[in-house]
Amino acid sequence: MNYSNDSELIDLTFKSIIAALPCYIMIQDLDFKILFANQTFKNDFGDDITGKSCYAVLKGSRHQCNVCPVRDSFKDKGVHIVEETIHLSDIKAIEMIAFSAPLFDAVGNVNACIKLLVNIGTIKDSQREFVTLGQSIALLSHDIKNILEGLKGGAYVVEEGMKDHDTQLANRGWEIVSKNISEITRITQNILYSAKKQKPAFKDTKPWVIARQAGQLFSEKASSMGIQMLMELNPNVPAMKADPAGISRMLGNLIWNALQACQKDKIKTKHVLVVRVDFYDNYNFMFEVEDNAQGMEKEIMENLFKEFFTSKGDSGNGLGLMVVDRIVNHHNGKVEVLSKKGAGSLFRVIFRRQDQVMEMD
Amino acid sequence: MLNHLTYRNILLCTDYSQDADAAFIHAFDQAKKYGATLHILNVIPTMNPCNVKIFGEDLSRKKTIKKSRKLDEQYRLQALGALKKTYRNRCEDRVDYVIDVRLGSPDIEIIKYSEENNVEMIILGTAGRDETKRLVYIKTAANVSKYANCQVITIGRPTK
Repeated sequence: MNYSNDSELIDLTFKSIIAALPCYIMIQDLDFKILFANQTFKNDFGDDITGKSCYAVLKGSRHQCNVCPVRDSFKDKGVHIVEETIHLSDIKAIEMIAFSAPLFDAVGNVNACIKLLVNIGTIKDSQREFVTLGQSIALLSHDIKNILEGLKGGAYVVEEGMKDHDTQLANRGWEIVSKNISEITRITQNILYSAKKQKPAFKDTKPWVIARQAGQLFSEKASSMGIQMLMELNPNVPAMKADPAGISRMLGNLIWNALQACQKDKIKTKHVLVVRVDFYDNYNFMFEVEDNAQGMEKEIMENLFKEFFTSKGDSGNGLGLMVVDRIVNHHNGKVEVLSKKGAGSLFRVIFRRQDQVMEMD
Repeated sequence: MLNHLTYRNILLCTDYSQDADAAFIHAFDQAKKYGATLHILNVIPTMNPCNVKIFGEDLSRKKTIKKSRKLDEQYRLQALGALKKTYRNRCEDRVDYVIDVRLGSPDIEIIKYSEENNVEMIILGTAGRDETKRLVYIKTAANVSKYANCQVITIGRPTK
């Protein structure tokens, strides 16, 4: 093999390595026009990008970016690193880290820069998840601390009542203890449900029966809070294959949220919470939990099912709706939300009826 | 406080019921009176809201979703044709109008449409179609009245 062939081979190898690298590589001139782009870059943005401006291709913009590592490299002949969000042709945004370095000619002038972009979307997602996890642990710890303090306070009142043979005082203390026990039970069950990866135990379950049971669990609580709870249950809705404990938990969380929303609302004097089970259409049925509390802002509605998102400040940990979402997904259902500030909220969960098979050609 | 009401976009929601017919007359009059655009909307349910297997076990979930979306779009276009046939002659050259068909839960889609199109007044039938002919059993009029961010008028069919 002669030298010329070796050189061709090396050239070919380098070209194929650059083409196959799982990152975008480009060379830009002083006007930020792309002189060279590797194949990975071309695959995502098209073969005709050579000669176009970097900002037009990556951002769909007609103007230079405010922060531009290439511009900085041209200016100080140094290497620069920044994080950039770029837009793929299908309007999908990707977070990337961009490295730029000057390319020197024989006399040390810089007429071109090389820019390398690496997708860091997954790392960024993990970063966000860790932040959320940290925040959620802080929230949960705060919740548990509050409950423990409540239990301690309740136990003290019980003790004092017993010491003074004051049954009324002891009863009052016991109410505090019992309230905090049910709070910690609810939180623990939600944590367990959200942490478990086990498959739900499906069996034939009548939706109206589960809804009635879930409602009954909260009826006393509702009346002690001065909230009227109505059950509109259609017994003709056929049985579904479901995990009864999961569906009950889902309804329990929705009812609990509605009760808390009603309690938080100091504007209305009368609060009503409705639990419904009915047909949605001929092939689907639905559960609905509706309240007439203060409703939600648009921004809150958009974030409702994000993990650990809460609009309740100190009194919420964002686990409730996350668990609802998970249970609904396990059962292949769909959640819909209607809400208006000042009017109330409605959560609708739609499930497919198993007794209906669609005949289509 | 408003002393003088003006409407630029009025939304009529129809399910072809007698109540919706009565609502159309009212919506048409209001649109004419205020020189508003009359939006005529029909919402039909998607055939597979939960995205589950509905065509038998031999079709994967992904293909089921693709097929049901395709069928949904076909039904939507059919419904759009029917809606245009019903209302075009009644509106053409008389009011500025827009006709649309959306897929999904009627209450949610009506409210979404009203927000997207800056609708100031929604007019719809009180009771909708008879129980046996209904496509969706949710309480559309009640929910739109409660949750829409604009004026809502529900019209019942005249008994006399």
